[in-house]
Amino acid sequence: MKSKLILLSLGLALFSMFQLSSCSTTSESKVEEQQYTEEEQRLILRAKKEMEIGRNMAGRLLRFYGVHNDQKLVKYVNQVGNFVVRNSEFPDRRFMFDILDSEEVNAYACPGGYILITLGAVRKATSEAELAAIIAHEISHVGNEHMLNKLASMSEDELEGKKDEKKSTVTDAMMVRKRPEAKASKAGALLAKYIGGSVAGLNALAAAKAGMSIIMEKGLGSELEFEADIDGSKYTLDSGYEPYALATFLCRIYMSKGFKKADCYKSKSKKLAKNKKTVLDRTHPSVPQRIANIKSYLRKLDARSIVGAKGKKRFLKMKSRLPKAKKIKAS
Amino acid sequence: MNRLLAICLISLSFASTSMADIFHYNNLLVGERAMGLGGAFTAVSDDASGIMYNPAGIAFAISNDISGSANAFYQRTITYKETIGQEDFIEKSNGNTAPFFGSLLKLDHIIDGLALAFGMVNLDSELKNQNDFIANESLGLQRFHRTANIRAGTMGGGVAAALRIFSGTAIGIGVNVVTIDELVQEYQHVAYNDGRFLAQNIRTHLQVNTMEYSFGLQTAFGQLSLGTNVKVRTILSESYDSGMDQTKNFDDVFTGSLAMLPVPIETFSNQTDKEPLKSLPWEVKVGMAWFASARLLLTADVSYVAEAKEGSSQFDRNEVTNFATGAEYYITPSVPVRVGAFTNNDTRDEVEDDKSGQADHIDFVGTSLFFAWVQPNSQISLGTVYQVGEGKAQKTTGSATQDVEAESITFAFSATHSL
Repeated sequence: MKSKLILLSLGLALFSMFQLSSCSTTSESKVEEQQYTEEEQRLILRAKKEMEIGRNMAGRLLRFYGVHNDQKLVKYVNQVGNFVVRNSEFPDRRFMFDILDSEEVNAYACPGGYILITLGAVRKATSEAELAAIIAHEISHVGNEHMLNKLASMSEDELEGKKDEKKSTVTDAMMVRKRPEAKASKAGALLAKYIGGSVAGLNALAAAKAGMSIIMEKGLGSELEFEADIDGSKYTLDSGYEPYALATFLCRIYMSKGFKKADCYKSKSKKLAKNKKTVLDRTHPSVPQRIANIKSYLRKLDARSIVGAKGKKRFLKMKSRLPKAKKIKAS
Repeated sequence: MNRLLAICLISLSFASTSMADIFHYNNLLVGERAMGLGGAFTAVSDDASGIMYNPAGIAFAISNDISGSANAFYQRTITYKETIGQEDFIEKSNGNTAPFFGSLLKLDHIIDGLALAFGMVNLDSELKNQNDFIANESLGLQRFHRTANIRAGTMGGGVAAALRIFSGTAIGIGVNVVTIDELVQEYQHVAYNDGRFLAQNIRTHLQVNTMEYSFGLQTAFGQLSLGTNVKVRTILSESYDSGMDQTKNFDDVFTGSLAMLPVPIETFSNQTDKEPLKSLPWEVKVGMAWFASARLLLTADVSYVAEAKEGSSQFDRNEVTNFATGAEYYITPSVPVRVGAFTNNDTRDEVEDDKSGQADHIDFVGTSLFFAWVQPNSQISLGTVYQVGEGKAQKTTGSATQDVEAESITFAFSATHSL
C-alpha cells in the first residue's frame, strides 16, 4: 500500500513537473491540487522536492566527474540495478543508474533514485554479484530516504554551511555527557520531520549543496551506512546473487591500499581505521567494521549455506569494454 | 453529649477556608530529563530546563534544542481519616498542565562557551471542584453540604545565560518572573436535626508577582559534575482579597454555649491585605552527577529553602530541606529509562495535639519513571510521577487532630528537538 502511494506520488510528481514545463497555468494547478487529499498533496510535494534535490546533486556529480559514455555498459548497469530494485523493498520506486568517469572507487546515491557508480568501482569488481551488491547498498540509501531525512533535519545554517564556519567547542566535560548515538528509524525520521521541519520546506539548491557536502565530506553517519550494508546484502541475496559479494568487494579495495586480507577482519584495530584519504574512507566507517557488520548479519541467515550466482562470465565480458585506467582525479 | 460534641466538630470544622497549596515546592517537576531524574538536575541542567535548575549547566549543552511538555495530567487526593465521626473526608484536586516549554541556544560563534536559554514553566497547578453532601442521623446531622472550588497556579517565565569560564567550569545567571494566582470559593450549609443551621460563603484571591534571580555554578571533574544554584526572590506586587458572608442561628461566639438563638446572626466581611506574603524565601541547591558511562547517569540533589514569615501568619512557611536522586540508563541507544526519588516536605508547622486552628502538615515522598524514545535529532518521553504523603491535620476546631494520607500522580508527555 505504502509503495503504491510512493509510486503514485512519484508518478504524480513527474506528471506535475511535465505539466509545469508545459506552461500550465496557476488555476490549472489549483484545480489539480483540489483533487487530492492533504496527505496526498504533502507526498506529491515531498516527491517533487526529492526529485529536485536529487537531480541537482546528480548534475553536480556528473559535472564534477564527467560521465562515462559507453551506452552498452550503462545499459548493463541499469539492467543489473533494476533487477536488484525489483528484489528490494522498493520495487515500485523509479531508479536511474549511470557511470561516473572517475577511477576512484565509490558509488553515490542521490535523492529521487539517481545512483551513480564510478568507473573505478566497476573496474574493481570481479563479478556481477559485486556490482549488484554495490548498487544494492545505494538503493537502500535512496529507498530509506537517508539523505532526504538528514537534510530535512538540518537547520538553515547547517544547510548553508554557516555552522561549519565556527564550530562549537566541545570540551571534555561536555564529551562525558554524550549519550549513545541513537539509530534513526523511519518513524524517527517522520518525528524529526514534524518536529524539526519538513522536506517540503527545504530550499532545493541549499539542500543539494548540503547533500554534496554530506556525500563528499561528512558522510551520512556510521549507523546509516551499516544499515545500507545490511539492506544491500539482503537485496543482493534476494536477487539470487552470492551473499558475501559486498564483503568480498570491500575487502578487495581495502587490500588495494596495502592491507592484508586478514586485516579486513580485524574490526577493532584503531590503526586500520585511520586511513581517510579517499571520499569513500572519509564518508564511510572503516572496511573491517563494515565487513564485521555484514558478516554478523549474514551469519544469522546462515548465508554460508546459500549458493548464489556470481554472474562472472557476463560481467567480465562487459568489463572488457572498459578503457584503460586513468590516473585518479583529485576530489 | 456525644451528639453535642459531634455538632461542635462539624459546625465549626469547615468554617476555616480551603487553601491552595503553596507550601510544597515540588508538587510538579519540570523539564524532560529532569522530571525522570526526580528533579535531581542541578549538576546536569544542560538543556533549556536549566533556567529552573541551574543556569550554569546550559553552557555544557552539546546542541541547541527546543523542548516542550504537553498533556500532563495531575491529580492529588488527600484523605482526612475519621474526620466526620468514623468517616474519612476526601479532597481531590487535579490539573491539566503544560509544565514546561523552553529553548536553548549555543552562542559559541559570538563568545566561546556562551549559551542562552529561555523557558515558560508551570511550577504548580491545582483545580479543585469539591462537592460534598453528608447526612448522618447518629450525629444529629440533617444535612451538610459543602462546595469548594480552587483554581490555583504558579507560572514562571524567564531567560538564563551561562558561560564556560574554564573547559570544565561554567557560571550562569537567570531571571524569572513568577506569578502566583489562587482563587478559592467555598460555600457550605450545615443543618442539624434540632433546627440549628450555619450557612456561609467564602471567597479569597491571592495574587503575587515576583522576580526570581538565579546564580549557578557547575564544575566537572572527569565524569563527576558538581553544581550549585542560589535563588533569591523579590516581590513586585501582591494582594490578598478575602470576603465572607455567614448566617447562623446558634451562639458559638458570645457564650460559646451553642444555644439556638431566636433570630439568626448575619456577619459579613470583605478586606484586602496588601502584603500577605511580604517576602519570599531564598533557596540554595547543591547537586552532583556522575556520568558513569555513555549509557548510565546518576544524580543527587539537596535543596534548602529558608523560612518566610514576614507576612500574614496563614502564609507562614518554615525552612525546609528536600532531597532528590535520579538515574538514567540507556537500555538501547534509542531507549533510555529514567527513574527518580525525591522528597516534597511541607513548610507549615507540624500539627500538635494541644493546639487549635492549625493548618495541615503533609510530607510527601515521590518517585518518577520515564521512558524516552531517542532519534538522532529528536526525542519523546512518556512517564509518571507518583507521590505519597502522610501527616496530620486539624479539620475541626478544638484540639482534635486527624491523620492524613495523600497521594498525587502526574502523567507527562514531552518532546525535544535538537536544532
